[in-house]
Amino acid sequence: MTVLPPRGIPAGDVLVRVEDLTKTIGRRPVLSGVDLLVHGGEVAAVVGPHGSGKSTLLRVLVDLLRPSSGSVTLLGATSRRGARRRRSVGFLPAPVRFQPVGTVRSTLGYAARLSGAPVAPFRDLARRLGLDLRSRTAGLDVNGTQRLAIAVALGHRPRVALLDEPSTALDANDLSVLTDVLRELRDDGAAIVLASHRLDPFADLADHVTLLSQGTVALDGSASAMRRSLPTTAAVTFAASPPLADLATIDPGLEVNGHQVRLTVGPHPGRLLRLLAGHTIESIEMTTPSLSDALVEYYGEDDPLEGRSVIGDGP
Amino acid sequence: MTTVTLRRLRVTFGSWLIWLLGLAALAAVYVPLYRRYEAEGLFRAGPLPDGVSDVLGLANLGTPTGFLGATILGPLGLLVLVSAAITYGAGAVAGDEERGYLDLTVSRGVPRFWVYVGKALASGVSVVSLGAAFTAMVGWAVSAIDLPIVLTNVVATGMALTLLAILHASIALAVGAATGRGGLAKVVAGTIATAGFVVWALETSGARYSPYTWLLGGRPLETGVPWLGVLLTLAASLAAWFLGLVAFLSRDIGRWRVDSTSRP
Repeated sequence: MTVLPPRGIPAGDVLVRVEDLTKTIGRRPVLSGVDLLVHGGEVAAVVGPHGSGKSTLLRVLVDLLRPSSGSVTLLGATSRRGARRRRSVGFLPAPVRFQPVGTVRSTLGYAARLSGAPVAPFRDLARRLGLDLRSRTAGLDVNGTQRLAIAVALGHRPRVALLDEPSTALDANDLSVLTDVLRELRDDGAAIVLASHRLDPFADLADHVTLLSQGTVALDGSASAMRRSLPTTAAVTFAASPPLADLATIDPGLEVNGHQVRLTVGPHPGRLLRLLAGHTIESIEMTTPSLSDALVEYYGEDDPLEGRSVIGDGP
Repeated sequence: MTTVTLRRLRVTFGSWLIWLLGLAALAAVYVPLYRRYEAEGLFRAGPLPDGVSDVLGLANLGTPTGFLGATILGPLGLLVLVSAAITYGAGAVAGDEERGYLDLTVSRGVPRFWVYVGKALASGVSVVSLGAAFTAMVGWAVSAIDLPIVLTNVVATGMALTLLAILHASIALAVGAATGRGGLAKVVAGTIATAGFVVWALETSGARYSPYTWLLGGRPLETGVPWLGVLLTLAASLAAWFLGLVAFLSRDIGRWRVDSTSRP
């Protein structure tokens, strides 16, 4: 079901441009030399551990925080001078809070008035997310508050959507609806920036991935290139003694357990398959981690990136 | 701006009603007290020494204007009105910012200037309406028990109290808008309010700089509207409001939200 009608935004326009952004809070650099470019019709995922600067980046984009240096352009205007243009921006902060007055309906009405947009699409999205418009805002639990926040952020079909930890407190059904809505927005030409601790469950949606660590861009590239570069692990069980010398040319760190060999074959397993020709194989199992798991493995949940290798076409 | 103002008024309507009930209770209790004390002869046997009575402004307690000026149209009315005003001023920007409510408004394309103006206007409407209602209630009670006080002077005094409330609302608003800290805004505005009152009540050398002197020093219950004081207080309120605006336009909003989660 598509609630959001097309809006005819030309895909390909640069809607979000961040150049050499530095933000210092107190004496501490929270962001340092960050670049980000998001075109219309593109989904950019900004991932990283807690405290890496994701929320700061989004808050600078919507002019809640002012850049210490560098430039931030949203919909063609600097964030400071483009207040009116931000009516076409949807922002989901984290954590999100609403004034504990009125109902879901009145909160959506307030958001619509602020955006200068009709309230009907807000209500449609809220219903789609399973919200009862008559519910008291003060009575919403964490899940309900997050769903209301999503309706408020995306109800006016923004040209730019900036979502901070959008999957927080959502169940599988909510996530499915949100993913559908984001896909529709993207297809309509909106630029979407998702800031999240983990890439999933939006891994399939992301066109571009930027990994932040300690306020700097640790990795930046297209999601498809990163997926292609993910290493595949193979577990091969031979009928006889395995050709260890040959296999070690693929992965010197291979593990041997009797006739079974476990080795990392990189993104292109063709070489392994050629090498196995002529041998009797009892079983072969190949696994490739998801991009999300690979990124978490890369930055180690909450730990900063130190001494780790680079995936994909990043620096 | 209208959207921001109406939203703020709606959010604060409950507290406005509570303040209004408090002021109504004050008027209902204290105005009739004069007749009761007069009938019981309490004014003839003052319990306090003359010097103490002078300091507390109780020297003319035996007259209707003296009684009301020393109670409900003096410290008591001021206490409630100024407290309400400081609460509204501190909550308008800083309170909403601390609770995270400001994110939606600013990120949704309302220029900061209009956010500030809209919230200041809502605070002003709340304070002025409380002051006007309080003045009307006191005026009605004065008429009802037939106290010999000129009603326009009751209005003049009510206006003076309301202007003092507006001034402290502006100070709280400005400090809150400049720092994003509602607690700090209340402390600063409350301290200034207390200092100004004490300086005026004790008639120290700095009393001439106190807005309480500008507005209440000429006994408006007996002499009417202190126009110079009105102008000075309005100018001071505007100056505080403007300083808050300048600071709000140039600073980070909700900085603590990222500051508390970011690592060194």
